[in-house]
Amino acid sequence: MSLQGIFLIYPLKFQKSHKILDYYRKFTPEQNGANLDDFASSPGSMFDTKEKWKVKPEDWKHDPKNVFEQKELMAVITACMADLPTKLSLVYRMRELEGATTKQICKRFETGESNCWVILHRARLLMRRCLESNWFAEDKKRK
Amino acid sequence: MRHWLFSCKKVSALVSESMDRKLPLSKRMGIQFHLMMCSLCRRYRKQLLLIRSLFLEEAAQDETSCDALSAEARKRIEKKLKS
Repeated sequence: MSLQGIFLIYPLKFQKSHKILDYYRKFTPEQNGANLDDFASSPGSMFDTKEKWKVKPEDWKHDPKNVFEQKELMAVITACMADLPTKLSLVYRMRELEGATTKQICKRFETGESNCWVILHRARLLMRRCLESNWFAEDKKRK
Repeated sequence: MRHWLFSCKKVSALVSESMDRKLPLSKRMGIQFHLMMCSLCRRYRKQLLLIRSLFLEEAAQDETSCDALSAEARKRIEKKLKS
């Protein structure tokens, strides 16, 4: 990238990240910890009493190879993201799409770091299951 | 004996945590040991990594589209500088 390119992009990026943070800030106050208890039961339902998989992860044989499929898959991911509980999707998006560290996320949501890991874990469990039923299962039907 | 054998539930949480920070050696070894024996958890880990790589690709595409814009802008600037 040329020097001019850098000068053009960086202020833009900075503004963008600022806006994103403002967006998250709007959500924080009332949602702190309030609905955390709702999630407490959710990963439990995916495991049996012996703590083994109740809903077994299926083999995803089909990898998205071409660009069109990838775009389709991204659309499914976005839909799944929207289906997640608000706080989960906010934290998950911040972590995976903005690439924020858990420390930054904790600061934003004013929670402990271990809490962040638990939230992310739940988001990933739900996201995986959602993708399986909405993309990879569909795929199987097609064949 | 049992206390250092991790359950699937625990390993799934730790696998996710390992994507956010470096785990202590004891936990990493516990995970590896469990993964050696449990195909479902291996699969779970692979799928999480696939989802993350998809996100990364998406982010990279955003970068390039940003780059394309700047290239256009660069041309415009170059033109102006020359004139």
